[in-house]
Amino acid sequence: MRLLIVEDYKPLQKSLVKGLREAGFAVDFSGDGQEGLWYAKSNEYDVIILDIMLPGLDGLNILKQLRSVGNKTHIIILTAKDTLEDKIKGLDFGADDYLIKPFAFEELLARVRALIRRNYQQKCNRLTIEDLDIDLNKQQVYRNNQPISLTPREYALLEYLAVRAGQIVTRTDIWEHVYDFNSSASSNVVDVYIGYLRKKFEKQGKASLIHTIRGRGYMLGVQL
Amino acid sequence: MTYSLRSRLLAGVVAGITFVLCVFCLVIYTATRQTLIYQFDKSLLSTAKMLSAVIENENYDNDDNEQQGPQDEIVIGSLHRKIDFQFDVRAIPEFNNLYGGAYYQFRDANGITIIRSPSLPNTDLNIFKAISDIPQYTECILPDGSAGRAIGFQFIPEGGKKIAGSTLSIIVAKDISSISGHLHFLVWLLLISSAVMILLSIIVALLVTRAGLRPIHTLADEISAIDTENFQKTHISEKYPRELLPVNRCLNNLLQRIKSSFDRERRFNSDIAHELRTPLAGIQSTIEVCLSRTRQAEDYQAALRTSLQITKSMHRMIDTLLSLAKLESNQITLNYEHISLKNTVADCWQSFANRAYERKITFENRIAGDAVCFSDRDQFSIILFNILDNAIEHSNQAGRIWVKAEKSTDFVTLSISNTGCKIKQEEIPNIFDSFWRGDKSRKDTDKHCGIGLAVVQRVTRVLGGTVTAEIKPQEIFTIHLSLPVS
Repeated sequence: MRLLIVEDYKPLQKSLVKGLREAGFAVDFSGDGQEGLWYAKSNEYDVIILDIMLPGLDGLNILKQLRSVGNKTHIIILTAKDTLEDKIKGLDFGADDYLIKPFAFEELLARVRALIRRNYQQKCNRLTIEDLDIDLNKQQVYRNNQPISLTPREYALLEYLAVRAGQIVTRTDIWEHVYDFNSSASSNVVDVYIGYLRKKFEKQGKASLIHTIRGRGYMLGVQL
Repeated sequence: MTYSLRSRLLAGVVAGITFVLCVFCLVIYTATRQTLIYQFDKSLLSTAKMLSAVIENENYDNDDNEQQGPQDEIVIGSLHRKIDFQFDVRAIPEFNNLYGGAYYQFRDANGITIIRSPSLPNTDLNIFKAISDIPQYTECILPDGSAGRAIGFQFIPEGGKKIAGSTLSIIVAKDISSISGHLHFLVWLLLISSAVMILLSIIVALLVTRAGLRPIHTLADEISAIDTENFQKTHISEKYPRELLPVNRCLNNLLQRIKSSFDRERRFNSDIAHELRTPLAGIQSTIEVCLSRTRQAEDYQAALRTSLQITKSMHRMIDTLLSLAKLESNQITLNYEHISLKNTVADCWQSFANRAYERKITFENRIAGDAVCFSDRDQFSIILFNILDNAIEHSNQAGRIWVKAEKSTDFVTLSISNTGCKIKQEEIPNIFDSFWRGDKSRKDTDKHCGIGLAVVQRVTRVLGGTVTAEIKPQEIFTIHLSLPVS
């Protein structure tokens, strides 16, 4: 899942990026309002974490502009402004959630996960596709109750395929949602990781569950 | 103890009206009484004159005159006298009834009674101690026991010679019950009308005080409507009568001051909230992310270093905000003195010389040697420090910073300019806001805390000066600082 953090306070920005990347998210970041808006408009993020007081363009304006062009990305406002009016204003401008600084990093993570679940119409934290079980909170994958160990990148890829199980997922979709600007821009990196996943699944001696739809992309689940 | 203004006014008005009414009634009563008595006395006098005019005094020797009325004969000493009424006194009926309320009595010069009215058979009218020829009046008790009024004077009867002993005196007394009746009636009339008047005056005073005090009630309502929690309304309308205007003005003044101190407090809270919550969030998330898994020693060190730097910057921020709050609430005593601008700017620049050298920024102090301002040295240094810090922060690599001073009558304007300004013209009004940051890149640990120019503006205001900013062509940013010269 790909996130955007727009926060101008460098220590906070750095730790959030680090923490969220370690939690398996692809994270882009910006410390400037204008740049943040440009990022948000030109990429498809699953969640945007937005500060209000920003140089260049403030967070509420970014929110307004995004909503005015029909952008439906889930947005969490992250701010030091703690008055009721500020909260109401933020939510009325189209924010999905509001978190006041200082906050527990775990809480931010939980809220991000909740918004992502909402994105893909998931209500619970456990996904089951055939004999595959994914615990989204613990980021654990089981097949036939046997744990499969995955690297963060592999997990992120599987999770994205899993929340869209039964649908055809294009390479662009995967590129957009699993990789951030930090990732090396190799055209076949997606195929390489799909290959890793298949290999780990096959180790268990079962069908890989990940199907290639020629000329279109991949699909997780039983092929129709 | 509280009391009601309205009751006081009411009581005062009613007491005043009652007093005036009493005086009025007394005057009316006295005047009427005096008039009635004057009229009565006039009639007494005319009766007495009439009686005295019809009396003739003759010697015994000339008794050939025809007797026309009854005669009394009295021997006075050796002189025989004949008192002669020219007409029948019985023709005046009011004197004929025994004890009928009207009496007269004639006496000769020796005080011997010559004639009495038929109503006075054998009593004397001993009313006057001495009688002169000027008529005198007095109140008396009549022989019948009722209150009356009497007149007495001496006269020389018709035909008498003006010799000693020839004068007679007359006393006429009459009942004054008719006057008393009139006066009684008047007293009742005055009492009843006064009572009605007082009643009416209470009603009128009630209405008038209610109407008159309405502005006070309105003012009280308006004041009690002020929300002391957030002071959204801080102005009382000016629709009140002239008498209430000083109260109004004073209240408005007070409200304004309370509001501004509320605002100051709120601003301080907001500053604290924003300027401390963000770094706190930085510390918390740095530590939490670091602790989320087992790491290398250098990772922990990096997290600790970051946290320490944030802590130090928070410490500086708290100090700045607290001293600003103290300054604005007059808790810091200011020592005003004449300060040489050129020297102070030069001293202050020393702290930035290294930073300037690293970035190859040149500095020019163009202030004239005699330029002074009248200010507090510490606070002035804080202003200068922040302006120069801002200038060096926003100056371009190998840029220039220069300071000029211009003197007008009461103020000296210090202009601090730097090249390389990236602020847009429309952003000028924001640059003195606490949270506003013109630069896109905050330093890693936020050494430049962003309230520098806000501090400048607020300290300058306390010192009685003004500060403005200007952008000139070629990316030149200038801060104009005006301070009093005396």
